[in-house]
Amino acid sequence: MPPESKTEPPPDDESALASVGPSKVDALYSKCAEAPQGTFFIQRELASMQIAESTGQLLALLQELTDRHLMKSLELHDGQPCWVLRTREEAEKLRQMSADERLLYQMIDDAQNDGVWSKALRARAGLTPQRTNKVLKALESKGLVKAITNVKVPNKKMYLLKDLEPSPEIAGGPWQTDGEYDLALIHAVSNLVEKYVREKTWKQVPVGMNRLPQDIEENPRMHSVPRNMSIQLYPSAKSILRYITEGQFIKEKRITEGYMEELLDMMTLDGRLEKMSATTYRTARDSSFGMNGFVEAPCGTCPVFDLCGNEGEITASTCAYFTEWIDARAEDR
Amino acid sequence: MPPLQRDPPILQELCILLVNDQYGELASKVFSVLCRTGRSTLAALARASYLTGKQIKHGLVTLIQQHLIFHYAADPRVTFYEIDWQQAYSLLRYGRMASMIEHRYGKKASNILLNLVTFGHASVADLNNAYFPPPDTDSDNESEDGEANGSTLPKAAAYVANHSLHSLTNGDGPMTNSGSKTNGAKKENTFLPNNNVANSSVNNKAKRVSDTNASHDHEMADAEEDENNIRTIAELHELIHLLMLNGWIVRVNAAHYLSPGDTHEIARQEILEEEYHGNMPTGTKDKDNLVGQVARRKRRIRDEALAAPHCQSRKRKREDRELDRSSKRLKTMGVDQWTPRNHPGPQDDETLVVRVNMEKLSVAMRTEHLVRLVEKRLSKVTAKIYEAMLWTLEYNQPRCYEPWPDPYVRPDPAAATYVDPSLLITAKDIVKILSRHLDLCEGLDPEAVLEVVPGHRIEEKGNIAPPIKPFDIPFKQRLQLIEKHIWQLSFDPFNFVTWHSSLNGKCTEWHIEYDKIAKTMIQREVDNTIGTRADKLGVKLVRALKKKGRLDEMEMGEAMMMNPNDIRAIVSDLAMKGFVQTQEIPKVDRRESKLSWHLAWFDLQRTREKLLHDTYKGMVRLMQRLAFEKEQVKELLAKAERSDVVGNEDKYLSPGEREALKRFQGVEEALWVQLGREDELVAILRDFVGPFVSV
Ligand code: SF4
Repeated sequence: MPPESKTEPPPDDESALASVGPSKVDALYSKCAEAPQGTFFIQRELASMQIAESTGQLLALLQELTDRHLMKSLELHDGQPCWVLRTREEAEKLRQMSADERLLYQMIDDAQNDGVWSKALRARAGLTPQRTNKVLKALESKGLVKAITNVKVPNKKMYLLKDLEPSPEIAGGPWQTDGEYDLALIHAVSNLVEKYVREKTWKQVPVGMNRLPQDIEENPRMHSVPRNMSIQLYPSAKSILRYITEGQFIKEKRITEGYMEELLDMMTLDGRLEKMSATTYRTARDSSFGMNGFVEAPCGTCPVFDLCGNEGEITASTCAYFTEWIDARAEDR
Repeated sequence: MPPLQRDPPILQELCILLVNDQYGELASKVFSVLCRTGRSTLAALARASYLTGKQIKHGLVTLIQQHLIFHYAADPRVTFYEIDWQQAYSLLRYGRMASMIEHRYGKKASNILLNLVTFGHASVADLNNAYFPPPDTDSDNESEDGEANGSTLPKAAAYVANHSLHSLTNGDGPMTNSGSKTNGAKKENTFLPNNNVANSSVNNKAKRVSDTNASHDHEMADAEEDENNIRTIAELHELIHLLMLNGWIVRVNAAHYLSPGDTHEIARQEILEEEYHGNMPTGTKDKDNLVGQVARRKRRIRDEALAAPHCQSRKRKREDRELDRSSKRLKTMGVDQWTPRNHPGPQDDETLVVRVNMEKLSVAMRTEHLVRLVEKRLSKVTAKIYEAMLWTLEYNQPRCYEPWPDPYVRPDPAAATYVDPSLLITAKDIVKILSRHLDLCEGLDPEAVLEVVPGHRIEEKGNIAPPIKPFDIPFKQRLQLIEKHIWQLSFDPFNFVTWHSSLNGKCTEWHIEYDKIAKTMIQREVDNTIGTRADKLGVKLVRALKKKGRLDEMEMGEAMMMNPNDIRAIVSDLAMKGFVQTQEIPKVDRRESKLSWHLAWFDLQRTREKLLHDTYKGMVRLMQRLAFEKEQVKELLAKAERSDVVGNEDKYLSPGEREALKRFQGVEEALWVQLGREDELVAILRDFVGPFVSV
């Protein structure tokens, strides 16, 4: 448990600084800054930088950096404490915050990309709704946090650090933007997928491919035949994803296999894809809906079907739809 | 009649219209009284109607002769009558049945069927007389003979129909007389368009498939045209035998007159007497046993009634079976060989009374649907191969599904993989019955073809060079090509065939999971209906619900990858049309739409019943419209049917009248064609897989 981040340390205490010296603090900060932004440092790593002379000193340095908002301490999933660097601008902004602002900010920060619900912030901070809103507004206008919509509960406002991507849990993965399905993206990707799968699973051959050569015209009529392969080799989420990633069709979003599976499932419901085995797909040879005897007849699509009776105002003899239908049939003949 | 009597259920309405159309007013009146009263005695019928006892009796005779009602006398003094809904509905299907039989066994066989249908049931002697009238009848029997055989089939059937109705309803009240007079002719009129269409679609199909064949087949077919007449009594009997062996016609048995309820009661009583000393068992286990025993007994009663006499010949080898539509083949590889000459066939017993078996037609309709589906989903040649498989298997399938199955027990794993050997099939079983001119390469990936037939190459355009001559492909390679098609059938998500075994050195064995496919077919028709009545998104939603069960708006959105707000409208549209069910569950203790979960789900069985009901209703409207259209031109029709006018239309009818007549015939045909199409849907929804739904 890194208590430092939870309990606000007294910001004006100069004693720790005095004992370790300002240069070492900066040295540790610069050393850490060499690593890519957002790197998590565990204690062993920091110790190996050979800046602090002892563990005690290292901890004091870290405490100092934390106090100055240049670092934040976290906990890894196994409970091990770790630290992440903040930029100097960020630290500056934090330093200028009011106590309430800092409190909420830290709670939002702690939640990372899971975000926190505004109501939870209010409850935990023990502020009035008005005050909470005001503080959050202020943080938003400083460009530190942002509000997002949770896809699961659209009327719940969630707060998140400005430059974090909300977790798929709340944002709904690559197919959603701001809690809404990105229909244009889905449309584009599903078309790519369909085209790819069609090419992989069906082959266009001339009708009558086994006739005498002179029978095959210049531009023979083509039809699809299933490709000669076992169903395990049909396209799967994995191979389709590889095609999409390697083709660099989508730049902004990262699609994982799970999300690809989600799309393929949806396309199966559309009837555009058909499941061949637990993991593989093909396109439908002809995904159009057929008709049937009922819907071809006038009553099958009649808006007053339920009102129509053997006698009364609406009957088969008085029905205009029928007359129309009969006339149309007569014309066809 | 009570003032607030509700509309009769829709199937009753449809059947009354059909009976009226086929057998006239009296029969349909009696029929509709019986609809109203349910299972009743003659006396009860008389009480429930304004008809005289005599009229009712005559109506009943027609209905019984046509097997439209069951009758049963538990006590010899009281007979109960009850409607046979299946048979009554089947009035619509006789034309289809004839065309299916023609497709399988040629014109001669279908001709017999049509004659039989007009009789209702008939003894072999009756059929003999229909085809070969005894010399002491009317002077014009020469021509009648020719017609019974020839392509002017309706007239032959009409002749038979008049004959039979005459003997049944001779000399009754005015209603009956007029009914019986016009019946025969009318019947043929109404079936004709239906039949023609069925035929033409069959022909088209035959043509389509034979596109890939050499023209050879056509020449053969032409030569056969002249051979469509049944020439001898022996030939007639052989064909009757053929149809009996394949279950299209069956011997009339007392059990055929028992309604399902009576059959059940009889079977139950018998079992109680035999196994439980007449007492109702008390233990749960015994009670369960009883259910199974009764089902088994019912099956036994039925199967005994259906068994073709001459049982030993039923187990002929599969390869002997007659599956080709060409009657040439019927002659060369069929009839003569499998009716042993020294064995008197059952049909030689002229007193044998036979009727058509409509259950068999459902099997054939299922075959036809499946073949069409494969044609759409895979290829025509694959469909042709599937058709051969299905036809071969039809032989051992008297019906689509068992309505009286054993009570469900969890199958033990060893038994679960068991398949009745008579329902297994291999490429070898069908290779002989496929035309050698059928290009088995078509519909396959050319690379797959070259794996089997080496020495050819694929050209840039995708064609095989040099072409492989279908006729010259060696037997083994033919088998392999057929198997390639069968594999495609099994890969398809419909699972048209299921792999069973590939034993070393033997052909791969396959079987067909009809029930599963039938359910998929129902789903497909539901999809088609929703696709037309609502839209694509509606279908998508239903599929999502089918896959995932009960969902709230959020979850529907996730499955369809759509925003929940856009889904709400689709759900309410589908709910209104009765395709999905919805439920609102409040999250708080107030009932407020905003604070509730909106759940939706899809119930296939329920939708199936609703769609079936709607389809029946659509058919009723078609029949009603037909009656209306007929009424409009009633006088003209009467004039056109006058004996002096028939054949001299140009002389007696004005151009306007001829035009009106032509229009009416067009309308009549369009309506009957549509009825046939709706009937196809009914078959999918109702006949291919249990539980039987009665609406
Ligand atoms: S008869 Fe006409 S009004 Fe009645 S259901 Fe059919 S189309 Fe609709």
